[in-house]
Amino acid sequence: MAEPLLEVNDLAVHFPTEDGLVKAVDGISFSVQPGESLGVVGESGSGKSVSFLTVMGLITRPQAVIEGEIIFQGQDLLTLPSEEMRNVRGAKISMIFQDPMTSLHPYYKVGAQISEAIRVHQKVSKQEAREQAVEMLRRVGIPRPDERADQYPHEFSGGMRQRAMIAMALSLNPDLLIADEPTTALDVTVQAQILDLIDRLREEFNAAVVIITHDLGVVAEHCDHIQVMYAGRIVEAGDRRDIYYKSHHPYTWGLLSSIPRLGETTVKERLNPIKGLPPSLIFLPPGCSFNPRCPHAFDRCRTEMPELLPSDGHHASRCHLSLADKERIFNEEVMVRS
Amino acid sequence: MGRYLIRRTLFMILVLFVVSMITFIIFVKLPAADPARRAVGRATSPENVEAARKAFGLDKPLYIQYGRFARGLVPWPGLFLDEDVYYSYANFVPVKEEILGRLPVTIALAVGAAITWLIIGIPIGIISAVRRRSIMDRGAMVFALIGVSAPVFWLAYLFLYIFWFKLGWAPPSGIPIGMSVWEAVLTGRFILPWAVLSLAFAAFYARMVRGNLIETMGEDYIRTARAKGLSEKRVIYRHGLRAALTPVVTMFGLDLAGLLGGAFITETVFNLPGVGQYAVNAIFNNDFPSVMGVTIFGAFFIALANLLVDVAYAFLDPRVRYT
Amino acid sequence: MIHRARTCPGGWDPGDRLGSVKQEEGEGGYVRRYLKVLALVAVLGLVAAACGGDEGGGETGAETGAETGATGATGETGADIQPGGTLEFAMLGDVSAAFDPAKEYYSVTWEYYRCCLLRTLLGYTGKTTAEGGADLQPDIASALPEISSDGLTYTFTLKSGVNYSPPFEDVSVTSGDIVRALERVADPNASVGGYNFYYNIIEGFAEFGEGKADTITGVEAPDDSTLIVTLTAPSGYLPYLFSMHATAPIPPDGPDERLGAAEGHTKDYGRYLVTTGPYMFLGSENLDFSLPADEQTPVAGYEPGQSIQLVRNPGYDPATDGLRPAYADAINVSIGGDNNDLYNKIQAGELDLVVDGIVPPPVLRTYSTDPTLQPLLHINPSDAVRYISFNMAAPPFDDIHVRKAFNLALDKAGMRTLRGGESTGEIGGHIFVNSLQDNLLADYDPYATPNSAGDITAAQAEMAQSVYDTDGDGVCDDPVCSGILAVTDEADPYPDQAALITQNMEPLGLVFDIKSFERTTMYSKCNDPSAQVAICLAPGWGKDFPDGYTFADPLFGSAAIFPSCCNYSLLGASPELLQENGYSVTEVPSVDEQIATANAQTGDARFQGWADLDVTLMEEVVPWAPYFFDNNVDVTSARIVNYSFDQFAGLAAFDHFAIHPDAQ
Repeated sequence: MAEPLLEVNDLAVHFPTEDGLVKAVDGISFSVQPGESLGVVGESGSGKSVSFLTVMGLITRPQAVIEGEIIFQGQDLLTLPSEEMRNVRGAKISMIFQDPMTSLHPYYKVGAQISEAIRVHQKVSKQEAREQAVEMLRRVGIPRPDERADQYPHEFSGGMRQRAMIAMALSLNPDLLIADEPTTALDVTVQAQILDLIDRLREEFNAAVVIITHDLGVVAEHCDHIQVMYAGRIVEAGDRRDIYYKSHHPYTWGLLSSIPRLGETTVKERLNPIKGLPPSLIFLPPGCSFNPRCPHAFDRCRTEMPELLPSDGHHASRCHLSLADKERIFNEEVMVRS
Repeated sequence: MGRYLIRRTLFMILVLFVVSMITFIIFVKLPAADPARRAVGRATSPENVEAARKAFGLDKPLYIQYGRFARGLVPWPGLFLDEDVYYSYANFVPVKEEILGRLPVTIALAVGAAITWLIIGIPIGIISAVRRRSIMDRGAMVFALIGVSAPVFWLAYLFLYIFWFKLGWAPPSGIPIGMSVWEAVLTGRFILPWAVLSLAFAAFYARMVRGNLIETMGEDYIRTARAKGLSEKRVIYRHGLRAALTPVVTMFGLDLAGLLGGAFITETVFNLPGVGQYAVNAIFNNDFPSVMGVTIFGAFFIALANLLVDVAYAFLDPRVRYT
Repeated sequence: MIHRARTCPGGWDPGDRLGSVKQEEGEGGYVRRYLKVLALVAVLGLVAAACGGDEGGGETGAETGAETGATGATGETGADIQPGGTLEFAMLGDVSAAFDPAKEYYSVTWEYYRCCLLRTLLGYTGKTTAEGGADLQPDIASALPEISSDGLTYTFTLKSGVNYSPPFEDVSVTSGDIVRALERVADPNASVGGYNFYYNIIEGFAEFGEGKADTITGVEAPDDSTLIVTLTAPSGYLPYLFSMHATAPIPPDGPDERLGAAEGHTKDYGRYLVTTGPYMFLGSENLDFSLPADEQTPVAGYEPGQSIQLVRNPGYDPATDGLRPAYADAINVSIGGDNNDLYNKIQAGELDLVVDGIVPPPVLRTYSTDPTLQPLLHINPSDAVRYISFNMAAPPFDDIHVRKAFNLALDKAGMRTLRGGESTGEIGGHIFVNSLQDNLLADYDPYATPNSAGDITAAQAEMAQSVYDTDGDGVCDDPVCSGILAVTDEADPYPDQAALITQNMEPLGLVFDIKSFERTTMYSKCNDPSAQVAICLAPGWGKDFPDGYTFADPLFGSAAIFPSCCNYSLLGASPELLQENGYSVTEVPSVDEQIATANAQTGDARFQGWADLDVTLMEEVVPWAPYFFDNNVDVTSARIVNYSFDQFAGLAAFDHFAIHPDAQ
């Protein structure tokens, strides 16, 4: 295997607050290969956004206690001086956000916001930057990009704004694009278009893509690898097929069950959310963090924290159930419904 | 936009009517004392009271009395503060003449103070917001607290006492007879009034800028700006301030207009012959047409400023549109 | 019918020399607030000297009282008086009617007229009562008028060579110019807020004012230097009316213009004023009376509400004037500002006098205790009385013993303390201010008590004789004594004074139901007999011109009962009037005859006449409990060497002020 583009080792991000230490990310390790697409799935508060904002350098010390390593193209971003980190941010790693309505500056023209990003990292004239920005808008499928570049964000629809955000993120041809809930705030029909666009551009720009989402359905067709996060830890990781067809973690099962399926008719059947609430990140339950909500928990789950153990190849999970039990329960209870 | 302006102008006239009606009711319908009796003094004959009543038009029915004043509300040359009605009951000088004659002093005071408080208030607000919870921030906010809570007349007298009377660093109050406003500005006669008047505003603006900027810095588009790899300076000054200062413009327009309508206490204590001092005298003397005139004038300025601020907002915030 | 002015139009309070009542209240508030501020500052140690740290320990204010009285008419500092220089004055508020002589009813303006701007047939010397300052002197007239034996005709003879200010510097004053002024005074529009009612005693004056006659029949000018005035009835105070500036001559200006220079200036003649005194407004020479009135440009030397600038009048010949030294070359007056700040300016030498200021207590303390500063503090009676008036038709005050008991029980010293202490005025023992009686009753007080603090024993002895004290224990036991309707002013210090009065009268069994009002309303309530106000706690009265008639008729004449003013005691009320207004009392004493007797006197006999009336009122009628005579307190800058006090206006005499040669 080639050297990974991004390698995260034992990353922990803790926020000191008046109520105690919030362990938003508590020791995660993973890697992203060049050109690969990784889906990161979890409920809000699972640490999925925090870990990538840390990768971006948007969460820094002393705002948070950060431990571990983030190796990007052979460099540990956590030890990089902020000046050099800025050259990475936006140019080599770029990010798009959940809410395109608020992520663009309301007082500046869309084209200007894109060319600003270009001019920060490249020595080009205003005119050239603008031309590049217009070209980017065209490539993300915005009609009449020359005109649209001179419009303000409020004159764009939600989908168009997210396209503009993507144009901005890709304008410097980054090696890694992090998309944090890129479609959550959009209409269902627009969601698919955006995801397809990201897919297409990944190939065009040969960039690795991380899609962060709470919705397994979103990453189903668009990611090579998927990792599921819960309470600041990775609970299951594997290829797309591993997660969809032979998931080994009860939490993932819950997520799979709550994906709306085509042809289901009644609301009662369709919605099958995981019972209970995510745990407090200050006072995590003893043993497995998921045990209070897990229908399959037994005594050991309440005392001993399971390790993230590989079962075969890339596929790993963090659960005390035996492999046989996992396969049985998945086949009998989860697949049946799917 | 054209229709919007017409609508706003009509609305402005409506506001002037409402303000004038209230003023009229307070001073004519519910006066502390009968203006005619006040004008003639206690020791007089009933005939003299009647003569004063007639001279002031107070013998006419109320609607006619108000009607005379109402004509002067239309912001149109020749009609606005019409001299036949708007003259002082005390010295018979037309209100318009007084206000226009005093306006340069008020403008010098208001504009100078406004520049001062912007120069002081905005940087303090920015530093406090950027270096939140630092000693600078806490010091600045203590300054703001003092500035906001210290009464202006107290500050005015204290400043005069310390900086003129005791230390001799600043010139005394007032504008010497025969000195023009411009000469007064150049010879430092406005330094203490500016300082006193701007202190409270500077404090207020520092707090407002700090609050706005802190709020803005938490916006998603600031995160976007950072994600683009912009320097923190550029993020703060180009992206943060741009949004944080826009509401300040609104405030500024209204505050400046309010001061142009008269900085009552500052002008009175520092004996600056501006519109505010005139207003205070008019109120103390129960000089109804002057009170009415100066109220209308102030309301006119504020209404006009409101309109200008709204129009300016359209340029500052592209999301705002007028229909 | 005669009334007093002495104050501004709105300000019906004699001691109030500010632009208006409200202004005084406002400034009073500032004074108190600033005192607190200064105290705070001292505590902070920022300016330890703020509260007069050099004050000697254990010293009392006794010396302040000793200061009271006439202070130096001539060179008290021992410096030579040399003409020249510019006086720098300040006023907190403007004059009341922009210097229009027919409208100005304000002592401050009267002083500007007297000292500087307008000469009248008769005038004053600008000195105290003791120095003859209350005595009439010939001014434009060559002598006091000749009075016919029936007392109805007064003949004035004018001096020659009394000229006007530019542009009329070559025009001499004639008797026709005085007639012109009187015709203007008669016009009710030109004299709004003025005192035209005084002149109704001149034959044909009222008819002319009402437009029923073309001339005032009682005023004749047979030649340019003679003026003959005919009255409807003998009135000994007529000469004083020709010391009032509404009668100051107005120059002619073309044959069509009946009112001469004042033609077309019904509202604003003051800003086009042509003067006869030693001074005129700066820029007076630029007045162009050949233009229509509304195209003329007013004088530069008076900007209403902002400044007054007086300069020497080139048309004035000092040889014709024996009254005004007029030492200074010019007088600059700034209008507006903060009372405390203005007094700081006096100490700093930036200002020479605050004409209408209230000396702040710390400044007063400093100037009264520091021997080098004492000569700069000037305390003089300003000829106003503060009193409590009884409604003599309202029980229990229909009983003279109750009224006398009240007078004896009142803590006058305490009342004065609440007004600001000894320097602010003298304890009042009678009704007429002393200048009106040539000091004949200066030491008179029929209800004097130890330390002026009230005498409960004497008061109860008096009360015991009352019909309302049936058991004779000195305490009123009639139900009318509980809940007596009393009216007072809501502004300071009256609420505190009302509390003191309540406390003083408790041993007499007098219990008040006190209602407080804004000053104008307070006076209306006291004046209206149908309001049944039994006692009015907050009135004051000042003179107009130095004649007792300005006290006697408007305060005690039966014609001065509502709707006229200001006989609150209802002296001389008819039985019908009392019945109409719901009183069960059917008779109230009248002093109309004594007033007429005194008024028929001329010369010095008038002083005795008013003194006799005063004694009768105090001892036999007792309509009031007078408690205070106001002082005028001035602080001048160190360069002023010849302070003088003008008893006529009750203010500093500006024409006597001289600037030390080294400071000119």
